[in-house]
Order: sequence, then structure tokens, then C-alpha cells
Amino acid sequence: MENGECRNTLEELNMNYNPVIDLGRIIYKGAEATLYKGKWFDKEVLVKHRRPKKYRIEELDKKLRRTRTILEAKMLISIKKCNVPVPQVFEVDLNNNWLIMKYIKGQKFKDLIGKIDKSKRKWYFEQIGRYIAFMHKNDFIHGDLTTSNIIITKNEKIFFVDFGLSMKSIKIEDKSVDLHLIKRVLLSTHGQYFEECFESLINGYKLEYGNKSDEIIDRIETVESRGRYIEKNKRKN
Amino acid sequence: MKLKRKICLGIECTAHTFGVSILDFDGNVISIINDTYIPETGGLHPRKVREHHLECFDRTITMAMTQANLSIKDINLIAFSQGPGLGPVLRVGALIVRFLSQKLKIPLVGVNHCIGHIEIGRLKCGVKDPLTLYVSGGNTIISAFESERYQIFGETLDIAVGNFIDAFARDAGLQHPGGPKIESLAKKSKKYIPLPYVVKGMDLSFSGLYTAAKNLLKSRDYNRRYNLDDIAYSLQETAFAMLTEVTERALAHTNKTEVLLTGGVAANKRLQEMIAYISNEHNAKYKVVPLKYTGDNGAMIGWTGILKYKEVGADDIEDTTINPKWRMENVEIPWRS
Repeated sequence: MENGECRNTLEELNMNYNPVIDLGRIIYKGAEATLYKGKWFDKEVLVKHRRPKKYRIEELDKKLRRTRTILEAKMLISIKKCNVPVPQVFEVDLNNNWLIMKYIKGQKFKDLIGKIDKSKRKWYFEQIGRYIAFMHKNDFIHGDLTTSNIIITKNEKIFFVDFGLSMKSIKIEDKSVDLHLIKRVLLSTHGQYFEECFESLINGYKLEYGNKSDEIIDRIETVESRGRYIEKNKRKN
Repeated sequence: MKLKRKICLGIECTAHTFGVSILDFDGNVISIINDTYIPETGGLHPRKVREHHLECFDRTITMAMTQANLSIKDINLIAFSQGPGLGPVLRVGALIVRFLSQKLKIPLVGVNHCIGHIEIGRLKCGVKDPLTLYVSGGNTIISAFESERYQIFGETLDIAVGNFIDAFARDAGLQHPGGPKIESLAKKSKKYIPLPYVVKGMDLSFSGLYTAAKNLLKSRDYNRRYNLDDIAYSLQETAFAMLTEVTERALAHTNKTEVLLTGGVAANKRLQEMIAYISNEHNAKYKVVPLKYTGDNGAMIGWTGILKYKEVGADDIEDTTINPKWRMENVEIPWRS
């Protein structure tokens, strides 16, 4: 097939392309987006819809929702390439600002932590640490690492979700802040398991990242000592 | 026989306003006088503000006393703003109240300025536990009461939104204060020029927006393709959309059912409209602090001082040193726990 022909076929496809999508039902409504569990062709999918915000002018609103949808899709696709398990993007519908991705059956890691035994918990956190190192090695910053943004499937597979605040950065600072975020969550939400969990996470991280990780891990304390963060004050009192 | 009510003198002295207010311990404001420093050119120079306050404090306090029909001997408590603010200015305020307190043997309490804004809002707007958006020339803070403190959920990473608007207005040749002038210019336009929109989680940044808006003034297209009205409109739309987005996120995060808008920039009708819209969408009660109490004033300091005094008593003179970088989450709130 010649190049010209190929393009023609694609153009033809694009012109007649009507996605077969059924939004299904709402499973979560956040401040910015609504999540639907729906059908795309005959696949079960998750649709993330960034809702229009009437308080801001249309021009700005359109631009923001469009760039953020594109950014999230781009990040998901590139991060998947570094062997980090994230949902696969099927389609980006920029007319509606829909991000259509694979629906991952499982539960939030947050709800699972208390139900499993110690060695299992350690294993999970080591894996999570390794995956975070994978991302950071390739200069991807998640930006919102919490235990509710990690999904565990029935086969004990780990998935990272919600890349709405993610970015690309080579700065040690940004990587430390990313680790600091999950430390903060562990302290505030899973205080009784904090020591073992964070230790395993750092172990996994070091194992994957190698020598360079020391600088990042050391920096966490500097980030904390700036006093912008609440937990530190609480611990002092 | 007339019941003897207890009276508090509140003195606000953190930035351009020297505010004096006399109120009773039930929260009734008897008199409220502000003397605001307005620079002829440029922004607020701490030294000049200090000179202004030193020159006017006697007159202002006397005026408040006469208006309330009271003498300085009727005062049972003095409350003053201990921080955060401009160092030299805070020092003047502390000097005045310490002198009065020592000379007349009146108990003295120091108050955090930001908390004053929230407390007067709670008193005057009938809200109990609001999420507060406090926007002024010196502060941009989204705060709510959680684990016994006023926690900061989001704030500016560089300059305050009021500071940004005033500084831009100055560059455009408008006189201080620039906020109201920018607001009226913005009403004349509907043409949006894209400007940087910087939101990081629940934090904001206005410095890039300021530089971009300033560069528009220097551009060749200025007064050809667009004029000052268009820039004013665009910068308001961008900055306020940022504030509203962050407030909405904090509202969803904290699950509060009330939203309070306060600070000098709260007087802006467009910002009020936007915050009211999201409050409505989240079924939260929306209140904006009345104009008399939105800007810096003595009443907010006085009222917070009363709350503190009722719970823990007066401060020792050693504890009344100023604190120019006092974060509100470091303040204990005994009257709410």
C-alpha cells in the first residue's frame, strides 16, 4: 500500500467515525470531573468527564478543560510505556472533554490496607515504591500520590490512577515532594502501619532507583522542615 | 440603674490602615474609625506608612472615643494586631497599645490579623463553621477550622491577589488603590486575552500573571488591538477563576456547608458572583462580609481579642512582641475547642 492510500483510508475513517459510546452510570463525582462506568463499542470503560464550569468565561473554561484532558491522556500513555501499570487510554473525545480508558475492576488500596497481614502489606508497599521509582527515573511526577489513587485488582495487580496533577520534571525537589505526599497520607490515614509501610516503600524505591535515590530521599526532610505542612506541627506538640 | 457593660478597644495596625474600634463584650460595635494611608505615587513604603500611623493614632483613637461617648478610662480590654504584617508598622501599633496598657493598667491581648478577618465574618454573617476565602492586598488564603486550628488548605505561593491587581494598576498609571478602578474598567470590556493560569493543587501563583499583564501594556498592540479595559477584564477573569477553582476544590475536600468571602478584594462584585455560583452548586451557604468589615478594621481585632480574653485571659507584656510572619495555623483557638 502506498502512503497516499493509507492516509486516504484513515481520513475516510475519521470522517465517518462515530464512537459507539454509552455513558452508563456515574460512579464518582469530584470537584473537577465526573467518572462514568460505561460502554465503548462492546468494552467496559471508564469515562472521565471534565464538566463545564459556568463561573468562568467560556473561552477560558474550554481552554482549561481541553488542555487538562490532553495532558492527562498524554501522561497516561507515556507512563504506560515505562512499565508502570496505569489504565490504558482508548480514546480522547475533545468535543465533550471525555477521557475514555480501561475500566479497572478492583478496590482502592486505602480500603485494603487494614485487611491484609503484615508481610503482604510490606510486599505491596515495596512494589509501589518500585513503580514510583520507575516513574521518577523517567522524570514523571504523579503529583497526587495517595492510597485512594492506587487500585488493587483481584489478581493482586497494582494500578496507579488519576494523573490530573501530574507533570514532567527532572528536579530532585519535585520527586521528593511526590514521596513526601504519600508519606503525609500514610501518617494521617494509616498511622498505625506507618513505620513498616513507609520503610518498605523506600526500600523498593531504592532498589529500583539505585544510588541516585539517596539525594531524593534525604531531601524529603528538607521539604518537611519548611513548616508549610500541618502534620509536622502536630507531631511537635 | 444602667448595667455596666464591658468595653474593648480594638486596634488594627498591620498595613495601610490604622483602625480603631470600640465594642462591647457581646459583639456590638459602638464605633469604628479607619485612617488609611494612601500613597501619592508607588506602593506602600513601610517607613512612610509608619510615619502616617504615628501621626494619626492620637486623633483616631480620640475620635472613636468621642463617637462612642466614652472616655479612655471606661475601657476594660485592649486588643491589637500582633501579626502578620509589615514589621515597622506592627511595631508602632505594639508601642501604642503597650503604653496605654501599662499607663492605664488595662489588660492587653495580641491577635492574629487573619483570624480576626474570619471571626468578624462569623459574628456579622451568622455563619458557624465556614470555609473562608480571604483575599486582600497582603494575603490570599483558603482556610477552614479542622483539628482545633484554622488550617490553611491553599494559599498563594508568591504575591497576594490584591497586591497583583494594585501593582498592575500602578503600572497602567492608575492611582492607589487600583482594585476598584480595575473593576470598573473591566465592566466595559468583553474581549478576553489569554493569560497564564497557575493552580498547583490547592495553591496559587500570581507572579507570572502579573508579568504577562504588565508585558501587554508595553506591547506594540496596546491601544491598537486591545486597550486597558480588555486587559483589566482578562486579568480579573483569570485571577478570579483561579481563586474560585481552588475554593471549589477545598469545599469538596473539607465538606463544609458554609462559604465566607472576606478581605479587601472581597468587595469585587465579579469575584462575589463566582464564589456564590460554586457555593450554590455544592449546596453551601454563601456569605460575604459586609463592606464595613471586609477591609482591615479595628472591630475584627477587638472581637477576636474579646473571644481570646474570655477563654484564657490577658497576655503578659513579654508575650506581646510582634510577629510579622505569623501563620494562622500556628495559633491556638481555645474559644472553639
